[in-house]
Amino acid sequence: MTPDADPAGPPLDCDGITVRFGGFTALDSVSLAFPRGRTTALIGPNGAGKTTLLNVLSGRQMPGAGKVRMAGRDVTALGAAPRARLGLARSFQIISIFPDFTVFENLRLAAQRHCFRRMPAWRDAAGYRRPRQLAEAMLERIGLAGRGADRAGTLSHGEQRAIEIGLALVGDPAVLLLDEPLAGVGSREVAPFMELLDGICRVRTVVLIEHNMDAVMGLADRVAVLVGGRLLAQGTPAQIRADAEVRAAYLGTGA
Amino acid sequence: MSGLARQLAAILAGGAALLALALGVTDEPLLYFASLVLIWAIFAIGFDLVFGLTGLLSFGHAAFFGVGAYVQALLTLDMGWAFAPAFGAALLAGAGLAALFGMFAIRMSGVYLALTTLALAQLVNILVEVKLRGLTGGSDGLIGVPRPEAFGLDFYDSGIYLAFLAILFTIALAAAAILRRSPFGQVLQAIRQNEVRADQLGFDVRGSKIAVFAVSGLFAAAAGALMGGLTSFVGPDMTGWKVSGDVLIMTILGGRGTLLGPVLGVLAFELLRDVASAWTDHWYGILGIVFIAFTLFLPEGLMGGMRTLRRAWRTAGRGRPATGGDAP
Repeated sequence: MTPDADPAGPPLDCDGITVRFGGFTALDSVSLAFPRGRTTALIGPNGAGKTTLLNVLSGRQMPGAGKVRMAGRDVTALGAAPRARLGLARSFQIISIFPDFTVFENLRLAAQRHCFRRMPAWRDAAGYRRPRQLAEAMLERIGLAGRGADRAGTLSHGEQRAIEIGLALVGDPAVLLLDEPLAGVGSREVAPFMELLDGICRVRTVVLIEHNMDAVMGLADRVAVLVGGRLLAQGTPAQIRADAEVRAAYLGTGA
Repeated sequence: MSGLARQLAAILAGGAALLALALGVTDEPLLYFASLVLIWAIFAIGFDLVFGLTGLLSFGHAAFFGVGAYVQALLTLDMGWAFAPAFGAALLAGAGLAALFGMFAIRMSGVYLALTTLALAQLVNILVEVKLRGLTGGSDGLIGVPRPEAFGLDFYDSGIYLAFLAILFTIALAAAAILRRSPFGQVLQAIRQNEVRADQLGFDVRGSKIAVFAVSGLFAAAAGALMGGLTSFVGPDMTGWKVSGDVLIMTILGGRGTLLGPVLGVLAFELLRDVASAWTDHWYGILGIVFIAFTLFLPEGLMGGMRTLRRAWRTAGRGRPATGGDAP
């Protein structure tokens, strides 16, 4: 599958995105297309605008200028929730789950959105089969099958990170934005996480922010480098690794 | 049996016990006290859907309570409507007004939300007391609000009216129990815990908030209409900020975010009022001290205290010495 195989346009792209916070330009006319079925990694030093770009793509941040499109449709004016309903999911850099719910209830909640257009108010949520099945399958998939009944807030950081990703993954979103999915994951937990992420990234349109360069080079089909709010370069992982400018700006010349 | 089915069975059993109390007791003060508690409990159960379940601090619920009372009174007294259709209209009026409050409320949170709802409720209060005096009787209120007439029963008998209240209270409690556990209720709890994530998952956060305000307003209006029937009087104080404060204090005393907490809180509040107001006019001062003590030592209210006790009991039962729970 090539990017050109999409008559309507790539599942997600942005054009001329500019974001200013007061006098500070966080993003300066960034244009990127995220081809179908590919994983695009956003890399760059801290403050380069990676998370801001993810916020613009997911609808959390309105750009000062520029457009965001999903499969050719202009979604710039839509908030996060309607974009989610169009098939865009994201995970957060700082773990953002529902701590009072059990792990199972977290995932069932996410599943509910894919099962009902209007949330029923007069029947027990436990009585519906499809949300339960989706949640149970996701529990298994993120490796928390034995922890479903535990309060999510009581789990370890790595386990909460798994819930974080599970919430985004329920319902099989067309486009997945992952903001540092390995942040805070202990070195012993990285291997199963990489396996999970590898399974996700292989078949989906993914935008990935990650500081772990081994993970980026292993998971990404394409890499886009942001520095100071500008798109410095983009290409395959090998091209980016070989790019002298990128090495100077980010990877360190000794890399 | 599922958790909800067990809960509903317990609610039904409780309702039957209340019914037996209503029809078995002849002590007038006790019947009046029980009626007051059930009416306020319906109010507090509804209030907690917004406050405890969804996490929105409303300080304007008196408006819905009062509007329910006035719509009921005006339709029966001035328009000659029967109790039941007037009650239906009162519920709709409360839900509609609450939805309107909700539309303002979705734009803010925390103390700003509390102040905005307070300001809106004060507007209603002024309307009722001053601007619509011709309709509402101003500060004199409306006297002689009728009770239902149905099934050949005498609803002016305190026991019969309490039995009627017990049935409505049971329905309200069961409805709240179902709503809390429903997919919609799950979304409301999700909004309380993490609004940003609920939004990012694609849930309609604003629509859900407006909807829960409407449902909550319906409960409040029902309580207001029933209060008018109990005292046969409706006055502007029913839309005043003190009513909003009372229901908030009741809910916190009992334990916000739990099904039975608001009910327990109402009972504790009314007991305190009954006992303390017998020997001082300044019983609100005593309430204040109790309230401060609760926020310091029992922030999760009576329900939280009971949970702590139960945990300590279980720990003790396992052969380890009880440590006395979390509270000092």
